[in-house]
Amino acid sequence: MAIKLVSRVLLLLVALSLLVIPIYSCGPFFESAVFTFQNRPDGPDSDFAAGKIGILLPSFRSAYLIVAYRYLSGVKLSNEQQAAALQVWQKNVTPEQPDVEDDLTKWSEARRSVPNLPPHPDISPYAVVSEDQPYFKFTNCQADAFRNATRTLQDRTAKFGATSAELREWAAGQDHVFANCGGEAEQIPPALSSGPRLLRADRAYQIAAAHFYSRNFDDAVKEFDAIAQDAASPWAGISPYLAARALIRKANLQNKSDEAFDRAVMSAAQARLERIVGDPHPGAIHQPAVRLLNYVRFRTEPSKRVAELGEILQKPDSGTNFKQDLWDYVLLLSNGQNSGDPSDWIQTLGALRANPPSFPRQLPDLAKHSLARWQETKSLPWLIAAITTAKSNDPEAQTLLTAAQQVPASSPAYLTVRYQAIRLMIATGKLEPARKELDLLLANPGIPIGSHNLFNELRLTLATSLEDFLQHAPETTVPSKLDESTDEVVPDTQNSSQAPQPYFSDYAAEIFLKRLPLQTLVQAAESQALPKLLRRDLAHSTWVRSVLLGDFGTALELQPALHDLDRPLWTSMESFRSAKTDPEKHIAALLVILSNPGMKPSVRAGLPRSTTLAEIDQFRDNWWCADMEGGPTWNKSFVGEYNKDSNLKFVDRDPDFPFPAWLTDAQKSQASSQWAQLGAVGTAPNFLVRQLLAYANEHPDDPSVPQALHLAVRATRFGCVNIETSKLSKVAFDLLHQNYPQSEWTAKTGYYY
Amino acid sequence: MLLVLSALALLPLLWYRLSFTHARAARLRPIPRIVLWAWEEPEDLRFVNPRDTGIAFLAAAIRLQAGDTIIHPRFQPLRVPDAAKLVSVVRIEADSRAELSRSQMERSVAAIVETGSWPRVHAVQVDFDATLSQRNFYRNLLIELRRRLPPAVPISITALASWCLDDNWISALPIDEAVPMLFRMSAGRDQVVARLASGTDFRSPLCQASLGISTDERWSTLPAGRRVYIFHTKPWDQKTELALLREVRQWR
Repeated sequence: MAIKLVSRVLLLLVALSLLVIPIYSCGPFFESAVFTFQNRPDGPDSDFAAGKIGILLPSFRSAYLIVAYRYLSGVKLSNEQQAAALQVWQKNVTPEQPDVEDDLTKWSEARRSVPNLPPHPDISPYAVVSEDQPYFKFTNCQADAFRNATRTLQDRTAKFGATSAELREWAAGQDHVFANCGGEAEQIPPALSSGPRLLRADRAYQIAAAHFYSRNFDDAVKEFDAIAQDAASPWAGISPYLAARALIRKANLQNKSDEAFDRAVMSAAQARLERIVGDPHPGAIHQPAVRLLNYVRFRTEPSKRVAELGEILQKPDSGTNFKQDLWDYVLLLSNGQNSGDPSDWIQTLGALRANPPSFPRQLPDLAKHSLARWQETKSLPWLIAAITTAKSNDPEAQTLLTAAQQVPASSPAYLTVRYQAIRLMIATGKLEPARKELDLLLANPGIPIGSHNLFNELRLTLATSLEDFLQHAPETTVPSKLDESTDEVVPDTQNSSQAPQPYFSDYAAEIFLKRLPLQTLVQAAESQALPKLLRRDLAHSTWVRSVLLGDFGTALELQPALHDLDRPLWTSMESFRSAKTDPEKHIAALLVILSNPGMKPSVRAGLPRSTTLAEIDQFRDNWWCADMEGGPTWNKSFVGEYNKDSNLKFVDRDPDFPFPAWLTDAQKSQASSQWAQLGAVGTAPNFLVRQLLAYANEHPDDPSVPQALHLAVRATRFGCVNIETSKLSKVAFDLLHQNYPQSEWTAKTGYYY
Repeated sequence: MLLVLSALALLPLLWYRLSFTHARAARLRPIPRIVLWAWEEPEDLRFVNPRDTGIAFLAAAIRLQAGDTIIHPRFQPLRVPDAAKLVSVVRIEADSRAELSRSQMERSVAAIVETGSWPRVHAVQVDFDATLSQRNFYRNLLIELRRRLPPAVPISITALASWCLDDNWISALPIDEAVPMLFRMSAGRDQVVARLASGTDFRSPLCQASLGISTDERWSTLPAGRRVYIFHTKPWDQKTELALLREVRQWR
């Protein structure tokens, strides 16, 4: 007996030691459909860089808007400028730096050619930025320092001789200089009071450089200034530039103010650089000084600099720094700098974006400002701004429409101007001409998908009948992919040959959800105007709606459509069809819904649910949430201590969303009433459990109740839950276990959630 | 009787496994169960709650080229809470012509050891891709690293999923943790998905206590209850971090 017990214990221990029971769940990362890119063009960037602008949206990033402004002003980008713009849009903006390690290695090799020197000291070109932040460093000694040393070594070898004492002295001095690179020890080479003049000049330069690398910036500036005064020194020319660099490093690294840099020290550097740049005989340091001055003024005079860059970027010949200038301009704009016409235009459009971080002017002011600027300039950029911000009651609306009419189809502004003009035509009641023009535009195969969808959205609002509405309800998505380098969804230009799939647009889905009565939805599901997959989605959702509204007649009316569109689901509805009474139909319908987590009372905009109708989606994209929307339900659930109010009650975020004009008043009234009823349903798991509990209490002997309770408990695990769901889950669980202890469904229900 | 004998025969294995796991777990205990990888981006992670979230930051990248050992420090700012629990990560890349000499190994080890001495650093993590011919070098490097690091400082490595599945070369390494990298897996992804979905764990025990995932790759199934290292393709922000914490907590 004892042996048996021990053997069992051991067996259990062995089993436990080898048993691994992983629990599975999911990650929160989803694909999304893009009908129109909001912040960038939907075609290849190269097309936009070449002036094919499409419909320009105010929400485009300023890096695109500034290039658009240039084209709208009649100035094209050269091939080089287009390439530079592409790099900025792709955020490939880090200047190419020579590899410091290569030049350090070359210096080490060159130094080995000097005989009788001590072993090469270990040099680290990197130093920590500050003692309290040891985790990151900066390149204290850059590649050009080692390159310059290597070059000088070769030159001095030729002058003094490879075995000379002078060369050894020079090399020893250089060892002192580079010993400061790692930032750990300060080594200043001793001054030379005798020896060749060149060697003494070199030593003075080495002393200045050693101070520079050891962060004795004031001493470095003093030494470089002295060298600049020594006309015989080979280092006199570059020393003013290096003195300015020493001040910039001081401003950045020894900053004690709350700002990112020491303003007074940076200004001193600026003054020195301006003197160099203004020198009529600048020499080789002119271009480096210009670039360094731009770097400094970006920080010290952002407002002046943004205005200056706005002008530079509009010149046909914008100089050799186009890429850096464009990037600087974009960064300055993003920091809130606004000076000059292009930046005024970009900021004005930017203020129209939804939920802007800073809203400089209210919309009426924006419209007034845009109109005034257009009247002053008569320019295309401001025509776009003015017509974009114009309202139907603006006295100048007709003037703007007339001006828009004169923009030729060849203009880069054409599609943008037509889009905004048609929007204004619709607002001012010119519906028929707007519809005709939209039909012509939509028939044009040359229009990019995103622009096509924008025109189609306008056309959808002008539908004249259900059939007309259904013709325009599907839209194709712009092929897109995740750019891993920037973590952005971008156009997938390689994939554009694939046949695009039609999906419901957001606007169409909202109409189906909120503004159509059941009978119209049935007609839509039966219509051949929609592709089959979308009809199926519509038939599913309309059937669920009719059940939620208690309209079993309509649910039966949909059976032929479901027979055509989803035979397996139709087959599973046999008990619903054969039910004699409303309560029987009710429980049969609830079982169908519980067995098919993909069933929702609304169609889905964009990509379909990633799992099949009858499968549980691991990301809780199952049934519906309190908002009744047909899209993914991820992140709408109440979880742990977060989102306690989440998913508690229905909130119509856009109660004034207009009805389609083609509905009758009676249909509108019916739709309103049904939408209000649906709003009271609440999140699916709670609704389904409550309905079942009520049914089970009244019909405890119905054999389908245990299965339904099991599925209802499952729904509380995988559905869109709120803070009340767990209690309901327990009630359903208890009822199942107490009333049906022998049922197979009870055995399958081990937990509540 | 046969059953009893079989079970007794397995006891040493069970004891070894439990003691080994216990020692590893003890050394790794200070590291929270969720660790954010902070790669070469400016990172301000002062919003992180050090009690539940650690930070594994790229401290240096080492390139082994021919006979050279090129050590790139971190160039981007890293701000962390005072009580942060840090893991310093050193990435090693050896090109095909790298000599993989003793001096390269020693320089690399010295660089890793240095990062382990920095304030708030509780562990070091070595990130490398070893071809078959490079494995001996990395094995020796890790042995030397273990010898030179204070005993209390654990060593973590990032591991290709294949090292954790069938190719068990890492089992004898003197490390405390191998983090299976479940992203950017290309061809092997399906195999790992199928394996995990079937309930089969990684073969190497070193791989069974942690996971490495990325915010931009969708996983429908993942084992719970492990230390999760999370890579983000851009600088972290609190919203993203909270969303992930929420998700990972649901795994348990």
